[in-house]
Amino acid sequence: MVPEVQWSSITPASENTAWHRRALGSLLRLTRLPEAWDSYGSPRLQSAALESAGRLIGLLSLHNPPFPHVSPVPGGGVQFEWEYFGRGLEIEVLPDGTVEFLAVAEDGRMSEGQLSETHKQLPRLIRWLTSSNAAAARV
Amino acid sequence: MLPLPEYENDRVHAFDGSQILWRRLHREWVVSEGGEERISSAAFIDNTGNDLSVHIAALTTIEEVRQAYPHMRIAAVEAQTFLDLGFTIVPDPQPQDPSHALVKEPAGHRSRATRKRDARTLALKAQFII
Repeated sequence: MVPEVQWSSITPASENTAWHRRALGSLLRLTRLPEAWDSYGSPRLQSAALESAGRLIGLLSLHNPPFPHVSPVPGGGVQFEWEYFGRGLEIEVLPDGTVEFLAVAEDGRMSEGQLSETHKQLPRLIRWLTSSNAAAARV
Repeated sequence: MLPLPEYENDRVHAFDGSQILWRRLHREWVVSEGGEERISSAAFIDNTGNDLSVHIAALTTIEEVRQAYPHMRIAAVEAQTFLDLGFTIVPDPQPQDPSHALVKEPAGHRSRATRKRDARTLALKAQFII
């Protein structure tokens, strides 16, 4: 006789935060944009970008960053952007799901790159954005 | 000598940098923070491989643009801002829109990073019209 089995899903703590729910809500809102939503003929948010952005939100929420503005990008991508006490950070998810960032310091110096699939640089970028210590403010 | 193709001929004549160009803005590109609004750099990125479409302000009116695109806002950018970044501006009048122009990327390979930097510069310099 097969014993009765009970299943319960395990939800990482990060996925229960208000930040996470709000960010996912912003992303889902963009999925409702129609073809040519931008009046220039852009395709809709691409599925690879949507999946990648969802993963990114999960990882971001672990670091409790300020809430970003979430913008659709012509071509089918999405961008997360922050302006925080003179520093700017833009993380763009391209239509194929790859992720790039641009960080702009208070003095205008810029640093950019591609995030690896594991987004290992993410904690450092968020620390840089929110740090009040100028000496630590290097990307 | 053969005449230049029409497109090349357009490029020969430098676009007047003092002209004002309008870029239509989707509402998702308007960032509201602390009671103020700014423009997302996403408004000036195009990953479709197309040129950026703009209106030459002197050839249209806000009312005409609003009538054609009632849900869009408009940002103004001085043509010189594009030219300083190496872009080329080519008038591209359409039957329904004589003010239409294309902003073409600088020749040669531009890295993604450069394109993002330029988009950010343009977003910072653009000003809301409506």
